[in-house]
Amino acid sequence: MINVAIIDYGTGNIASLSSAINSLNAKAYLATSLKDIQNADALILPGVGHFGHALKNLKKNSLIKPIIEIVKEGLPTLGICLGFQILTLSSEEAKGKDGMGLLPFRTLRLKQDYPKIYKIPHIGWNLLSLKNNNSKLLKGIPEGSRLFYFCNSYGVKATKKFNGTFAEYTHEENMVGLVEYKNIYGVQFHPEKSRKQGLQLIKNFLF
Amino acid sequence: MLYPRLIPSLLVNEKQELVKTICFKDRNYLGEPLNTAYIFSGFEADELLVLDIDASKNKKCISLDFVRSLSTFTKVPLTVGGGISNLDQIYEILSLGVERIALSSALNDDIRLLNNAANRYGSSSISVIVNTYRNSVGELMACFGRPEFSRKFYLINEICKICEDSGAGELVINQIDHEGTRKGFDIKLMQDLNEIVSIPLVALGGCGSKEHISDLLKRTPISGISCGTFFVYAPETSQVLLNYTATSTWLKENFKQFIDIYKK
Repeated sequence: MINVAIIDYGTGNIASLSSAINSLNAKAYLATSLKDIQNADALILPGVGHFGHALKNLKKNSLIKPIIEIVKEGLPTLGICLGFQILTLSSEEAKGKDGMGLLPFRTLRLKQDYPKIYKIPHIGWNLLSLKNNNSKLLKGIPEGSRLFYFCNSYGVKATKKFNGTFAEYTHEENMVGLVEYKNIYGVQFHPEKSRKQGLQLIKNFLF
Repeated sequence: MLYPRLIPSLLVNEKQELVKTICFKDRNYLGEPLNTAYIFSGFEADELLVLDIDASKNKKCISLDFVRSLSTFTKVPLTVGGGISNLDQIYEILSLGVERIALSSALNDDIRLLNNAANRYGSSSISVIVNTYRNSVGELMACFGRPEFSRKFYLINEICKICEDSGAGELVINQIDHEGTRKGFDIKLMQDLNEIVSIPLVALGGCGSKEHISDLLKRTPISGISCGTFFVYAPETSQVLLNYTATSTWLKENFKQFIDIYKK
């Protein structure tokens, strides 16, 4: 049985994620301490909340450095929505605060030059377009079914030099919706609320 | 490209029964809300909007046990509302696996609840329901919660801007005088509002056919369309017949041609 530690930032909304994981014959539990993380076979940084508040909470529990170390040692790690953004270098949501820097991207406020058409937050179902063919997370999910549920005001922008696997979604501009980089995975959308394709993605991450 | 969301709205009374109303009156008992939500989840609804319409009146928050069951029985994104009036309630509801909470009545007492909720949980977790109707001389009235005699009424543009400026992540425009009538949306109103706010708008009240949906989308790229009657009754009757898939499939196949006009 795979033990999946879900990091708790104290911002809630992990019930759906836990039940999705448990339905896949893995065991999800909330991690608030270093010990919780050390016992994990996989790590998930969940979504919902504010970049600054989440980091503050992690700092309070002295979890930032241990997480960075354990991820660098190779523990399979998935960041979802805000959890994905925390893995990047920084976010415009909390200027002056560093992210974990495990992914060479920056998190920006979604562009809105045409507010009559492109609304923020970006809420709803959007399609992913894969930029190369070697995705582990999207395995078995056909191109037309890569529709996932998003709920975000900030987004991750690709840097030119990144040559790992990534997929984009389009709102006013193209943003990174999915990343795979060594043992580190990030998705901007909520796989736990994204129908059977979302469950497949979580399964692909775990097994 | 973001797909327009098609959102069944489910109304629950104080006994946790599923009901449907016409213009906020004439309650019709439909059945068991959890069972209904489960069925819509099976239809892969884009989202569900679930509101306890007695909670505010009774000065209570929607039952947490009910929300927990709702979250357990469904796998679709949820927006939940009814009597929510403080940050602790919001935290508890969100932690049960709900994407967004909906505020309305409590904003009559203090609009800062909206600011505080958005700051703490992020705008994308907070919807506001704005109720609106035309009075006897045709003026558009707008308010939070039920339109009671003692309410403060706003101009619709004004209330929408207040919500946006206070951090709302989404506005559900509930047209009370269209609710349950199957006469369609007030398209001009939705178009005007969608041009002045930069957050997602959801139209609720009056949908009776696919044409009502396409007529609206052809005029304005609205983020969501929420329907009660249209998804819970058989056409032209008050016989319960849950339906969703045909409309959803039709919309997915056609919405690009409705909304491409805005992008040119």
